[in-house]
Amino acid sequence: MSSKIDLDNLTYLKGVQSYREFVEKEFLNILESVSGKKAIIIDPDLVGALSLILEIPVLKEHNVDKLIPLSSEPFKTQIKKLVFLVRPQMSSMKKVADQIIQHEQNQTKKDSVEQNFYVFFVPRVTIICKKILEQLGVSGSVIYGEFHLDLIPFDEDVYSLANEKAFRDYVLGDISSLYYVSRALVNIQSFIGIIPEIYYMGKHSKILSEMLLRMRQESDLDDSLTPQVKYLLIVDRENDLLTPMVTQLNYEGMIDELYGISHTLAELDPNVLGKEGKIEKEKMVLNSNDLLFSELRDLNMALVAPFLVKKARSVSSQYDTRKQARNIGDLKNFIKKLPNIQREHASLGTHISLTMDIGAKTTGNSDFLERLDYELNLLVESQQCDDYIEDCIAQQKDLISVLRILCLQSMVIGGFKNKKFDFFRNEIIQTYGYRHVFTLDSLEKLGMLKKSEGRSKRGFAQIRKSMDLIDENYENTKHFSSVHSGYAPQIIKLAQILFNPKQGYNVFQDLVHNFYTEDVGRQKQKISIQAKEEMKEITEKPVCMVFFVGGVTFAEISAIRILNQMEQTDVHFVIGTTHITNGNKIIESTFEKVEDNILKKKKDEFLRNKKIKLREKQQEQLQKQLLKKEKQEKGKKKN
Amino acid sequence: MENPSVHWNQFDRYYYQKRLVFHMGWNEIDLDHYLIESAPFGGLIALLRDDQKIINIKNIKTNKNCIFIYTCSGKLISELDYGHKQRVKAFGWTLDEKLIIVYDDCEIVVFDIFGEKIKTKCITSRDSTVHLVYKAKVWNNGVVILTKKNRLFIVENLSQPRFEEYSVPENLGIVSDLEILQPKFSLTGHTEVFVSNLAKNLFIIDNDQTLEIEFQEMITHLKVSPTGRLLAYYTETGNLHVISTDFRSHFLEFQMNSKIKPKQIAWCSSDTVLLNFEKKNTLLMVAPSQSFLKYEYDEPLYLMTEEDGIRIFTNSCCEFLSKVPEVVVNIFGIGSTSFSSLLYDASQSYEKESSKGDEVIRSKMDQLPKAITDCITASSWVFRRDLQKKLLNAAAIGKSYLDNFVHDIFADMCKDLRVLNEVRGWEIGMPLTYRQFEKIGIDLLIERLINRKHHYVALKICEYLRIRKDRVLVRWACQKVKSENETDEQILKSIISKLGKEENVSFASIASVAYSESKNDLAIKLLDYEKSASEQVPLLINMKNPGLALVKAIECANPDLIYLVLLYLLNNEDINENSLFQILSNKDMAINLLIKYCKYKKKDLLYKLYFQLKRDPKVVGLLKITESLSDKINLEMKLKIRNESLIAFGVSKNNFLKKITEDNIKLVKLQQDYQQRLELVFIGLSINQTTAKLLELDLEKEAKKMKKTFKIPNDRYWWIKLRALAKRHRWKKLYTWAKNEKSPIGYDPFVEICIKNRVGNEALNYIPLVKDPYNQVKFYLRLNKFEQAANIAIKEKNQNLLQHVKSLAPKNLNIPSHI
Repeated sequence: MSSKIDLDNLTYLKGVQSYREFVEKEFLNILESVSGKKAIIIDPDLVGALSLILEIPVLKEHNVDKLIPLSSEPFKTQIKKLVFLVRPQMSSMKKVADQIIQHEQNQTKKDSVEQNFYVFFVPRVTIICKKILEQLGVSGSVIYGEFHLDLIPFDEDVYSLANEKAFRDYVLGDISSLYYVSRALVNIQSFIGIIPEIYYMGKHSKILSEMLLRMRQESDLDDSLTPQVKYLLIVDRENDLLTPMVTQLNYEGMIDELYGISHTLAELDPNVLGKEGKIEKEKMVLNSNDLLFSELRDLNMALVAPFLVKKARSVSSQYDTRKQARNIGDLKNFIKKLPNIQREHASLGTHISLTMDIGAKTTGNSDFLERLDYELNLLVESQQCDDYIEDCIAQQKDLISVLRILCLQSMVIGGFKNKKFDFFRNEIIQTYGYRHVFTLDSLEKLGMLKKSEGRSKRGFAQIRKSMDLIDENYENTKHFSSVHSGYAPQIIKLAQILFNPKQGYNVFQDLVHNFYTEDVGRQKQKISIQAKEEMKEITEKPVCMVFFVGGVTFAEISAIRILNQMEQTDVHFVIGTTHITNGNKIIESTFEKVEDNILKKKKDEFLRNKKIKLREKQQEQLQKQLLKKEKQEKGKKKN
Repeated sequence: MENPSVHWNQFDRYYYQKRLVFHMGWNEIDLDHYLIESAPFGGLIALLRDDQKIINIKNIKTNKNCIFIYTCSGKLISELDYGHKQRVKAFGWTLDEKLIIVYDDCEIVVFDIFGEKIKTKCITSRDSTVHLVYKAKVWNNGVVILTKKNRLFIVENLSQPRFEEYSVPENLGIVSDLEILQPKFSLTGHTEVFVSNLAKNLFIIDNDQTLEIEFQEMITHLKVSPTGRLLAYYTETGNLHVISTDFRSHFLEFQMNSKIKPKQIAWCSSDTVLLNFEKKNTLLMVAPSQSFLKYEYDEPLYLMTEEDGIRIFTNSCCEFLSKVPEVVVNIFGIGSTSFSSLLYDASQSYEKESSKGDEVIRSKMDQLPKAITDCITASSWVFRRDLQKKLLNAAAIGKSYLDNFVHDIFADMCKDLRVLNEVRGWEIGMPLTYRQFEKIGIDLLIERLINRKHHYVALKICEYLRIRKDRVLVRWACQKVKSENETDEQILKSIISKLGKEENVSFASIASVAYSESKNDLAIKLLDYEKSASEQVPLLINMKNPGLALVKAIECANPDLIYLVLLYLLNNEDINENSLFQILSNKDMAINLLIKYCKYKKKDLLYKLYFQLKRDPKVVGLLKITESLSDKINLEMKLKIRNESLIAFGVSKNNFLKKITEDNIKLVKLQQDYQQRLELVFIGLSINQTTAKLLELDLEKEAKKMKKTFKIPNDRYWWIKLRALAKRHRWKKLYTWAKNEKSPIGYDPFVEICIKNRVGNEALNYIPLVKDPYNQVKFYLRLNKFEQAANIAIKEKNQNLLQHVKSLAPKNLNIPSHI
């Protein structure tokens, strides 16, 4: 089941490895280009990304004294060189400008150090950002640079641009980030060779594939490299917004749903991990370096606990080999294995605690089970759950979760009847506030929430039937529909169809054309004859990168991994994406950020008062206790 | 044929050779009348008339304010007009043969060799006083200036805009000479400046400190060796000293016992110093061992130090003086017995068809490879083509005896020598030695050739060496564009015929030249051949053609380029809103980007954009609402804007948005009222939250009004009230309410909320009202009321349920096990 073992021998990894080294080296060069002690002020967005390409202690070795998250808040430092590492976003520029201006103003005061400012854009500097900095009064004394970190290796088979705002931009009709996706894909091809065949489905995918071809002409890519990835399948999140609305039920997806995973890190309460006595949240790294996790991540939650039990037995039996040791040799062998066993033991402990906590939050929680029931009924039989949704709203349950099921139902049944549509929208506005007119408008624009237009031939019921999306028997057969307890993610299904020798491109094209979008097609990229010859000599399964424009879920990633182990496909899949997403993130990206500082200020004030009161209370209690003690002591003395 | 060694002079353990390189092609130039600077690596020489010398009027060339630029062979390249306003204080060359001129008011200008200004820089301090140059020095790409008021400015790299001021010691006084140690040689990585003054001091100044050394006599000349390791200085009483630049060791003291000042001090190689005593017509060469050699001249001299020797210019010729390397001595030295010399002789006898050579070579096969490489290396040093041929021939013959000799060195040397011989010719006049060639590299050599407009030679060299030639072609085309005798059509045709099929050619840079020559049509036609949009777009903007620029930017979908055009459009006063909208119409990608920018920076333009370009009243309405939600405007304004949005929704026939917004306006008005009456914050709350707050405050009547006004469904109202009362712990009130009215949401929520708030006793009130007996049992169990739970089970006649209750109950309770 481990995805790691399979990947070790793949040719494509060689190119990826050199890419990873290249990026790391580039960053160290940047650090060295700024001599002496320095502080890095970093877009919070990038901290995780950075930790994926190098170890934080390496920063110290390169004279980085401080790592400060970017904000407008002033801070004081005696460090002469301030290095900003930011995304080229307009909103970040304001913060950069605030910082630089504050520090420059401090400089004019006496006894302060003269500081130098460096602004490095990740992955590229843009004209508009420079312009905005200029308009905000940042003078020419700043030195600009670029750090070309675009595709970040999240794992051996997952590459992400980690552009969390990508989907939000598409919602707003700004597709400019596609240009940067294209640059990233051209860039990686200079390491893994030119990808000879490109398939695409979806509006954005089509634009991207055209951009890729044009950009290749403009840049002189070396076409003599042996292509290590043979196919690129570009898919568009907008064509399947239904799947992310469904609760992810594989181990990694579940962790994401309940605690959130960002750049392979999950921040967990220490008691979740079975560590008591700690207060600070603990960061848990979730990638294939944790062998046990790489075996667990794709499993359906129902199978996780039994698997862990089995694992625990095997670990304890490994410990037992010590008892059976007959001579020094056996014992030596045991000692040799000991660190491995211990590591496995520790990891096992963590995952068992985590699984228990997940259990309490899911199977031990009637709300969760009820929700899951409604979800599955919708998916399997299109059974509607209007009353349930209405109840949820009446009880003022979390808006995101309400919208998730509301949108899921809308997409499954092909939209609400006129009256129902207005009713739900009205309920949401009255309950959650007027500002959500924007949310509703965006959801409508995305087709996630709509009015029904009579019976549509392109509805979900037809898709379900034609593509055989439901597999009730998922537990017994190893099938990727297990990630949603029987519902197969549509895009993964389409990828399977495309590379199934019995079905292939024509079937794929028809399905996409009938049910999803007019924009479907394929394109070839020219490669040199020599490269072609070399490609023929590769005996392994060819590699296909499925690139998700607009985000992929952990459940889908797991589904792809499981698909790799099923026998029907001719290729080995890896994943590329603009970012990793889930239902909550997609819904949240439709929220308009309104500057409602008044409410926030009130709230802050309230919390502050509460804190003060609490402290007063505590002090009062303390005093009371002290008084008590005194009294007791006095009493003792009297006695 | 004569042996080359007859021209060698033995001097201080080594042989030196002074070779005649060129007879100068110039006429009637008297070096004595000029200030002279030459570019290193066999580069051009620049002559500026020395206005302190009296010259016979006959000898003055026509233009007074010009610098004459010649090749080393004395071929005139140009007469560079340096302007007549200021005086030239110093000048010098960059490696790629650009002339740097320092004027007396601290202005620094970089010219190309045909007199076009490439860059101008002026050094002024913050109080913008003008400084006057006292002494200045130019090196490579840097300039150091000492002003009349003894301030010291350094520009380390002219391509960057920065200059530094070094603080100067107060006792500097009048300066006699100034020399710099380039940053690449100094320990600190900064330029070090050596300054000697009349008060017999030497100062070493760098960016943060000054070292002062006192001497017994005044220093008149300072000169750093080409490797930066040694410093030669000459004193007023005629003593020459050589010390290390870190001032730790003293290598030489040589007494001239003469008060005649040398005109020039220069280094030949890194250890020998040359003194140019013009007045005595001698050139004196002094070695570290104090031995010396005199060359007699009857003409004025100019010395130009190179890395591996020194160029000597006189009125009539250009010579090159350098050490003879050991490999060459081994071959041509008289009585040399080295095997390379034998191999050379053997190859000569081959020429005479004698078999003697064969025996010689076979006698020491083991030494053959080294002898071959020696011959190849020696060929790189000699300038004479016949000798090059003979040496390479010797190597070739030697090579034929070996199976495994690496052919590449031989082939590469042949190629390189062919290139070198070409540029060493009189026509180009660049006497590059092989070592210098290795140092500057082929790229810089090509650059120099292009600069001198030897495009054809440069192209042929590129083709011969198989390196990229696009640079040569583009620069040729840029020249071509300037041609005035041809029509645009002809120019375009001839450029395309030569460059059309080449890869990597930057047509944009050619077009930009065409534009600066005000040949706009030609420029646009040339741009069509440009493959890269990032090159096209900025140029089209410069050419004031934003419409086409935007089309090209959108074609490649590069948001950065689109923004570039948009910002130009927004900031250009010639473009009014109407023409802006005209340019933008039907360009969705650009419009969306502009909207994004406007939201951030230019909100006033937003509405116009939507009205003019999107033609979607609904979006305009939503936009108004966004605006109205901002807390930067007051309530009155908010309501006003929301009312405006109603019109937009009306036009777009969006009844839902209209109704919701009407509701909202009503709500805000109500909230305003409550806020005034109750002195509590209401605005910003949703309808639910408002109702809940009213209920929490016991304002039942107002809450009912809300319910009625906004048609809150009964179910939801009950939920709101339930939660509000629970929040305030109004359990009694809750109970009376539940008793008096029938709940449309059942009583389960009542139980739940009581349990959540840990008022179990209250919860017990509602459990009998719960419809589903299973839930009743469940609730009782949660409250540990096992007996009641059991009773329900018994009443329901459900044995399993009873069993379940019993299993959970404590043993001491008497729960019946059967119904």
